[in-house]
Amino acid sequence: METLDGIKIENLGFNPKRLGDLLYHEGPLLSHFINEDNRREHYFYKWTDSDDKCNRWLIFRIQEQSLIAFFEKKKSLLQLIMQSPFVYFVDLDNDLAQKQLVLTSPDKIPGDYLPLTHSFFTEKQYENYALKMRDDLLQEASGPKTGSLMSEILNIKKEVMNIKSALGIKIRSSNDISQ
Amino acid sequence: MDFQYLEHFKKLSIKCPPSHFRKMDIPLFRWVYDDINDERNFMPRTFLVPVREIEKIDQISDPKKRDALKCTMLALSMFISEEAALTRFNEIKATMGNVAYKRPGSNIAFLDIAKKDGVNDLPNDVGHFSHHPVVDHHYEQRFKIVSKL
Repeated sequence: METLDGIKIENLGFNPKRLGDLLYHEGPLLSHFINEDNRREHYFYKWTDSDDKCNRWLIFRIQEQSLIAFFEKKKSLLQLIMQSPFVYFVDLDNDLAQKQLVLTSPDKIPGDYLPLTHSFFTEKQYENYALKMRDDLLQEASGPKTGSLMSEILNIKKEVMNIKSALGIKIRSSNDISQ
Repeated sequence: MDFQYLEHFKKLSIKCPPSHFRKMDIPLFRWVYDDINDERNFMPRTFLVPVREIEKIDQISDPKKRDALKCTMLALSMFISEEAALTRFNEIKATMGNVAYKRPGSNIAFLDIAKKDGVNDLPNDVGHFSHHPVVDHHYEQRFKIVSKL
C-alpha cells in the first residue's frame, strides 16, 4: 500500500456509528457513518486500498449542506473530499482490528486513492440506502428550519399583539400572549 | 444440486441459496485478474483475506439478517453482458478512482453456463446478479478473458 504523509494518531475524533452502504460490490465500497454523540455529523468511509493483511479506508466528514449538494449533483465526491479540512486513513486487518490510523490533509492523499473528477452521484450507481438518505435529507431541507421557525413564532406573537391592541385589550408584555 | 459451499450453507439459519434463485442457461461475465488461474478470481468474498468489511458480521444481532449476508458472501458476482460488466466497472472507478483495478482485477471473463452449473438470482438494473456454483465447476479452466477493463 502507499506510504501516507500524515500524523499517526490513536483514536478518531468522533464516535462512529454505521448507518448504511452507498456503494457496494462484493462488500462495501462507500459507507455512511454518523457521530453517535452528534447525529448531524456525517462521515463517509471510502475503501481505498488493500494488501495481504489490511484494507485501508479513507474517512472524511461532510457538512449537511455539502451532502445535499452531492445528492443534487452539484458537487462530486472528489470535491467533497478535497473540501474537507482534514481526513483520516484507517487500516483494518482481517479481524477488523485497527492497525494504523493517520490524520492528514486532503492535498496529501495519494492520487490513486481519489475519485475521478466526474464522481457525481447517480441514482443507478448507488444503493437503495443512498436514495433513501437523499430523499430524507432533501425533505428535511425543504421543511421549516429552526431559525426560520423561531422568527415565524415571533411574527405570530407580534401579530396577536397587534390584533389585541386593535381590539382594545390591554397588553402588559409579549409573554401575556403565551399565557 | 451439489453446491460447492453446501457445508457452509448448512450452518446458516436461512435457506441458502434463497428459494428465488433459479437454474438458468445464461452467459456469465465476471471481473478477473490477469491470470485466469488466480485463486481469487472465483473465490467468494467470505474467503478473501483480508475481508473487505467495516463491521464484524457476527455482531449483527438479527440472525436472519446476519445469515442472509453470510449467504450473499458465499455467492459470486456476475454480469449478464460484457457491456454491463464494463459499464458497472467504469461507474465504480469514477467513485473509487484507479484503485478500482486493484480488487476485482482488470479483465472481463466470459462463460456460457448451463443449468447444471449452479443457480442465479435475476439480474438487477445494472445487469448484475449473484451465482452459487456447484462443486467441481472448474471455472478457471472454462472462463475465457474477452476484454480489458
